[in-house]
Amino acid sequence: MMKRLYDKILEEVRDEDGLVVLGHGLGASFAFTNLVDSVLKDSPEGSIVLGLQISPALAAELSRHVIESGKSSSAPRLITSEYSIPERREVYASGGFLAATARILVHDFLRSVIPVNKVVGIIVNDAHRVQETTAEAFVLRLYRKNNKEGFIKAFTEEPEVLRKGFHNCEKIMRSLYVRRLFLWPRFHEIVQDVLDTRPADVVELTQPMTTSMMAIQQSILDVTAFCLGELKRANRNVDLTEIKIEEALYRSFHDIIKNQLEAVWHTTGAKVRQPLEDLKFLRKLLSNLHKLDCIQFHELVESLRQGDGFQSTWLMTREADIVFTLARIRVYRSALRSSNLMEEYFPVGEKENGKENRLQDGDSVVVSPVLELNPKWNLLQDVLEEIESDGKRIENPNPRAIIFVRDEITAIQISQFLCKGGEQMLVDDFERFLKHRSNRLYRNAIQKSMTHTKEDIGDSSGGLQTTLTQFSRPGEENKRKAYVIVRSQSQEMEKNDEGTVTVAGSSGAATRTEDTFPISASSETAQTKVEIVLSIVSNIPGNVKRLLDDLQPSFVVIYDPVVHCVRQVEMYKADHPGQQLRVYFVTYEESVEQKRYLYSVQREQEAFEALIREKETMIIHANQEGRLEDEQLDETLVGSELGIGRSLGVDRDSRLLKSAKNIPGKKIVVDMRELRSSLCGILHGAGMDLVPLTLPIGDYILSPSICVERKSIPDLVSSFSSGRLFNQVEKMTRYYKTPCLLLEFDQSRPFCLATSAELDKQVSISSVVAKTVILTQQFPQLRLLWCRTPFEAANLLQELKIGEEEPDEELAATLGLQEEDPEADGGINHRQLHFLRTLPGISNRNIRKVLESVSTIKELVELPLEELEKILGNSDAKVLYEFLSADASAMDVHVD
Amino acid sequence: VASDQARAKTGLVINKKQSGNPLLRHIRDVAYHFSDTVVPDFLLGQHACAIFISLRYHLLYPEYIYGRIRRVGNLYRTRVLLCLVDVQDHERSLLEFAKLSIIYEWVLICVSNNKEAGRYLESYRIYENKSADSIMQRVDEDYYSKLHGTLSSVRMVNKTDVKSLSMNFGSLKNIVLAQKEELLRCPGIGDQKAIRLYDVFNAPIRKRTSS
Repeated sequence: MMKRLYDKILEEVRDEDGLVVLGHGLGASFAFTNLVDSVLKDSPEGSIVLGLQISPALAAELSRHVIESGKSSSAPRLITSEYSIPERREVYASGGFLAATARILVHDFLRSVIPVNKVVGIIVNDAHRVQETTAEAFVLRLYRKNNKEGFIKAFTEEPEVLRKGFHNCEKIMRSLYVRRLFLWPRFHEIVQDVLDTRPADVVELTQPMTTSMMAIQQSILDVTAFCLGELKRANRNVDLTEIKIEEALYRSFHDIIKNQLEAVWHTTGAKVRQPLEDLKFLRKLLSNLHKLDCIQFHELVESLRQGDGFQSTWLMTREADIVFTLARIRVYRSALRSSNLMEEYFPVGEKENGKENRLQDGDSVVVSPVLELNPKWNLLQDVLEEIESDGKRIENPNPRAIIFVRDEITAIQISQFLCKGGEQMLVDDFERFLKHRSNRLYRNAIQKSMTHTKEDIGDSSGGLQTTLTQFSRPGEENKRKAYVIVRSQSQEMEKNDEGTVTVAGSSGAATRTEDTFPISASSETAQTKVEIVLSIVSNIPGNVKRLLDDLQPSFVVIYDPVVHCVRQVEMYKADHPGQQLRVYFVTYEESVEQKRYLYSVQREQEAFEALIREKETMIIHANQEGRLEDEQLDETLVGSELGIGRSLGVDRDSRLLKSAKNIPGKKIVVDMRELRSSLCGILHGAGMDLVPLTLPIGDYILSPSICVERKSIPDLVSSFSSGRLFNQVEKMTRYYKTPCLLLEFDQSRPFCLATSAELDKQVSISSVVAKTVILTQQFPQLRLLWCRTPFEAANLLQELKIGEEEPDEELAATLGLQEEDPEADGGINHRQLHFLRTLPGISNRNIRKVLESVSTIKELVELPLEELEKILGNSDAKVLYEFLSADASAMDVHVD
Repeated sequence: VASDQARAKTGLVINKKQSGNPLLRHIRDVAYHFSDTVVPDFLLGQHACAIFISLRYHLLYPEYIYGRIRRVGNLYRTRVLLCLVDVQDHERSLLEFAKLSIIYEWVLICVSNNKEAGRYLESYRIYENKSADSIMQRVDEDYYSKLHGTLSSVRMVNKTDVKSLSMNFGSLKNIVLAQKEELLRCPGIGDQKAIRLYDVFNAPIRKRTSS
């Protein structure tokens, strides 16, 4: 059935390039694999179809899909940065469906590693993320420049994003070089026809929340309203007249406000930003209220109070207090028991002082656990029991049920719940929580008085133990049913040990049992018939459906409402019309969770309706597809003399910047690592010839004398503090006459390196301003270049090239190579290296040795001091060792 | 001129013409004297000087800055062109200044308000003879800002996360050695962050050699 839908989709897009927008979960990636199949069949041997923005996880999912469906041609082959250039040449020569990152493709197009003529087309996944300045758009431009025949077809499942901002859909389509928009919403006639013929048997269950959860939710909503008020007071530009409190619960709210404030964002102070941050946190709090168990939620709430000294005003409100108190009372009640029985004689006022008094000699805090269960757990329990009894009635002797949860943390929670039971699980967790707490009590007590000895604490925590065991009612877990719990991991979590999750046939499910998890609390009741599979709804398209196809369950429990999960269940049902399938849809009654789900469905529909309207009035450029020749294009150019008049409107083809006719020199040598930046794409669009190389010094070489190092502001800050910038500048000054540091600011920020808070304080050596001052005094020959957008930067670089000689790429690639730079050889994972550099005791002097001695950061951390000394030398080793093992939990002194 | 140099040892020497400049209000951490003999606008020390220009003024009198720059010549080793960006459409002027700073060998500093301009002048004076140690390697910070600097180098990890991680694990060592599930148990650490952190700690630093 689904094949029919995909065929219809392909029918439209096969002959004409276009952007295909599908509803969430309708499986855009499966649509395009079918497309690639048929294209490759029709093209000569060795043809290439490129895939953009296909993540490794998606590629794995697709190839799995392909293997199962028995076709071998259309699985994308992933080209990673681990492939060397000759290796890549080989891959390109053999052809097929190839997926690579934009950075690799930009490089290969620029250096002609990839045979452009053999590329019959490009498939763009997640097309909503392609913007004019992204590297993906750069790839498409390079492709179109050299190949006028090939196709570009783009797919996305995010109609909401296309609606964001001003004419976003048109802009994206222009960057994609496509002129047609194909919309496939859920309410499309054909989609409905396919999905609704034999719908599954859906049981919608709503679960009321407990009173305390209700109260917490209400209080958070009240606080949200309070924050909105704050926001409004703080800035006149915020227009909240059309925004209801409900809206503030969704992420899109943040974008709305950001949009309203965009023009003045850089002038806004903490008064505006703080409430916005608060709203973000409140949103998080709300979703976690339903997700986490009571202990985790309590910890989350407490983590806020341990923040930087009560900055947020909402913490002072009465509602905030309700949230804090109730979150705690869901976990435990505490009372103070004084051993010297003097309590009654203390005036009330003194008791109020709290912590100081609480920890007197011999006092102990009596904690009686409450441990409220999440109501949904019991509902799930009921559902599973119903499934079990129903399972006996239907013919299938071994019914299977799949529980879909939103994320890993819920998966852990549910599997523990099913293994141990809710009470036991919370009790275990509570013990951990108390151990942690009492440790800190102990530590504080030591600070307070020396006479407070260890035994006292031992006593008090011993007391806690007994209460706990009483509470846990031993024997309870024996009655619990044994479930076979199979956790189906999301791809991303399994990236490192790919081997454990293998492609499993219909019988393979049992072998996929996760070894990290206790399967069952007791084995003697293993005669249970229902096999329960717990799975995470990941963002990888088709993940849910494949699991359903594999396991063919009779029951599905959707534990967290997620639109694309629901869609995939629908699709599964459409594919297997004869199959018995009952779907349980579990939500909290009257909850934000439920509202959010409904809202996301509604938002998707609205987005599609808006896109349908927009499609009618859309402006399509004469050369939108970029298939005309370049000479024809030049006539359409309206380049101002300096090229600064870049129009922001959509009436002009802004993909074409000014022509570089007046500039004689066009060659710029670019460091490989810079290819991802938008500046590169813009420079190329402006007609410069980019030569990508691995440069030991600088990012852009404009001429034999001008070398530019580009730094975004966060980069600048971190490379100042790691000392890297100093080294880079030092090398630049040694080999180039005019070394330049290009400071690229965020568009929303003014040219201001100092924060306003910093300017109110005294001059400090740790500020960026001070460091900039020292840098320029140390290197008076260093030129600073300032720009706010990559467009400004591109103009600036071109301007600097005027009257200069062309750079020599061979020289640029070898200059300073004898220097020690661990990054120069390229075989380094940047994330890890970046982390390594931030560790104290590790500097440019010894980093190479570290790289030689250990293979992972974990290994480094595990080394004993003596080993570290061998690598780093005595003093640095000591610094690092102490830093690693220093007690970090002492950072808060807040005890309840 | 000699007396200006001598006075520059104790504080900023400011050209008399700048006496009405509103940025002077923000110079609080160093002393300053006015002088009518000094050529640049500000004498920042023995070898450093600065000229102040606001873009608004430059658009009205485009020749002014060239005259000033030529008069200063290369009397001083570090020559700072302090530019107040006070117009919306600044791109063209900044382009001009960038070229100019390269041709005449000046250091271009852009600021967005007078307060920051004052801060730069103060900083140049105060750190005149400061060695480059503070930018060559990490300066001593307290433990928590170092810890924050380390962990937040992993993308998406913020201050609250650093706190909750350190609370739950006790030391950086424990955080690095933690299992993915343990990281997830930390309030505020979602799937994405846990994967990222785990990946940074456990994936090899060196890539597979392509040979």
